[in-house]
Amino acid sequence: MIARLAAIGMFAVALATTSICAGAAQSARGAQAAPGSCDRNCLISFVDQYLAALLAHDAARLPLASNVRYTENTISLPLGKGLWATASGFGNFKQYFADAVSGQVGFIGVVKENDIPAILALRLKIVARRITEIEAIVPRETQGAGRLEASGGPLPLWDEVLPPAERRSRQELASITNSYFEAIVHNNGSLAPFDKNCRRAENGFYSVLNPDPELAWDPKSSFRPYQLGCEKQLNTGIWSYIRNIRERRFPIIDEERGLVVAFIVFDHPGTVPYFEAPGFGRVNNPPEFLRPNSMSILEAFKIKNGLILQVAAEGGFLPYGIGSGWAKPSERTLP
Amino acid sequence: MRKRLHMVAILTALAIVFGAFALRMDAGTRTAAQQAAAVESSCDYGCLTAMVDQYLKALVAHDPAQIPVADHVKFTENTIPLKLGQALWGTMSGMGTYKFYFADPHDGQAGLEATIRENDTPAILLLRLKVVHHKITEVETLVHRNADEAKALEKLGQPNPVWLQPLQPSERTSREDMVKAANLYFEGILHSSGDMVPFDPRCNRILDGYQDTNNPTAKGWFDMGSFRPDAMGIRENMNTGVWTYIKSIEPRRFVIVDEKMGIVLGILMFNHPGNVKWADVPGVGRVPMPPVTLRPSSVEAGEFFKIEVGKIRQIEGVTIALPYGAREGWEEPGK
Repeated sequence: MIARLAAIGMFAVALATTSICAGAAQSARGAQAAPGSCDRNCLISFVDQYLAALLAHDAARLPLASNVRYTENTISLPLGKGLWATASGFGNFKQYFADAVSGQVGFIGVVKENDIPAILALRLKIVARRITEIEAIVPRETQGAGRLEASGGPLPLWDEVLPPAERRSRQELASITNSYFEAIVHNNGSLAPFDKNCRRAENGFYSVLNPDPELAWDPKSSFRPYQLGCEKQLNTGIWSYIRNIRERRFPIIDEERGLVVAFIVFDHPGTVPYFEAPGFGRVNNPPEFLRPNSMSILEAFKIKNGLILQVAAEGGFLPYGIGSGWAKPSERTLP
Repeated sequence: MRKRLHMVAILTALAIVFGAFALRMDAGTRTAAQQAAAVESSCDYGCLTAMVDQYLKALVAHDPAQIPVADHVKFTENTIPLKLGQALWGTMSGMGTYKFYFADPHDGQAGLEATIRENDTPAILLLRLKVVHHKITEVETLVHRNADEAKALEKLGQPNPVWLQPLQPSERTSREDMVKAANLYFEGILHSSGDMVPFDPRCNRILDGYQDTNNPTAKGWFDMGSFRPDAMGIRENMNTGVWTYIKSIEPRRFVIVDEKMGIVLGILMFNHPGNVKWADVPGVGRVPMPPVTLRPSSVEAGEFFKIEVGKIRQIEGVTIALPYGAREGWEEPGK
């Protein structure tokens, strides 16, 4: 077991190096967008334009690059297919993440498909005012979409512009985000810097600092991990069924607001039947974690003073080992 | 219910259908190279099913070293190429109580449908092996991870006797005509025409443990007043048009033709764009489509057809829900 963990750890480190190099390359280009490029408002307007075209089922309205690429839940599709054929409206929940340096913009919202709500997590890449990349993760989970709607909108803290002293460089923000994934795969909350008020919502469900006493992991145990904070929860080992986090990308970084939008794939081989939670003893994993699957996820982070303050993850279960649609198959290593 | 994601409907273009049909027929006719390979492989019916048993034993032992594999062996689970040892190889904890085999010595292929235990939770496995020179060159698995549906299959007791009884020589059909009959079933779905399919009047369909024809007690997706398509015979059921949300069934592969038992195994992708809101049922009127069909999805199905005297005597299958547009993992390179 120790050898296996070590092997996974080495893989994670290798990935982290690659990822942070990518972040550094962006950083080297400078935190300022090039003159004439698409600024924050411009990027956000691209999302709104995209949503309007989606609703009209008419991609021809968009300024598309000739080599534009679209994926929906990891699958490459022609524009016009998938959500483009079913979108019938939007909810009120809308959250934007803009990065004028990388020319990329993220969005979390609620889309209605033939009036049935789903979550839409979106990334657009804009080059020379044309859309070159469209990555959509659509968890078709009405409950999750309902939770986002019921929340009344994103917490105001997401959009707060940080005083310069509380900001971190692009490279640091990417590195902090990556350390969060390292903390998960090593079941060690001390590997990532958390604010004591750190909270995480997964498809709108608060899985951290959630006081609901009914929320259990193993009905046979008094263990209530959802009541814990980010760091303490990681230390319990509840995420030990996540054996690998691969294809880590950090395409959207906003230094002013302390935001990072990461895209990753979680691998759950289904081989961890239980874990030993300090103070509680053995806790069984539920049957849904005892079968192989992977999850493609958009995960957004608010990082203030170098500490992770808020996390929002949107994603759904997919066949084990599936690629994100944005990495070469040769880059895929699985537990 | 979700097994119904599989099934039927609308024709997009006659030219496309007939073009695809011509291609499919290749599966039923053997090339000189295939014939030569068959002679060389000389693994007969018993040898092939023994190979399936050996595979299952190795799977339970989590030890791929126990099976003879070719250097270039290809393995997929739920469409994703993986290494032997991954996914179900890490979670398989035993066999269930339901299974039946099929084999095609002419092509060196064999497989089975069986209930299994994955960390003690029931699931349904469809396995296909290709054997060349007594070594496994291809492993294709569909694992339907739904315990209730696996239990439903086991509640049937033994498989329908038709799956276990070899055909009399007088009941046999040529390989080509066996594939043709199975293919007509899919054409029938796309055309909402059971009349074009050579059904034996006794034919029923069981998908993922659920019989959705001649099942008067079933609570079906489409039930509306006295309209009960799951209580109908398969021809009448297909004629209703309830499967029109299935807009294409591509690709289609007829991978195993078991002449001894009269079984054809097709592995195919049902594509549901999610934009068909109702069915116009003759004599009934508009029947609304259930919500699950109103969102884009693809469903890979492995379906077995028992062909007796040129007629489809029984259908059974296993399905996997996938993102819309997902590939099967067995496409020819470049396609």
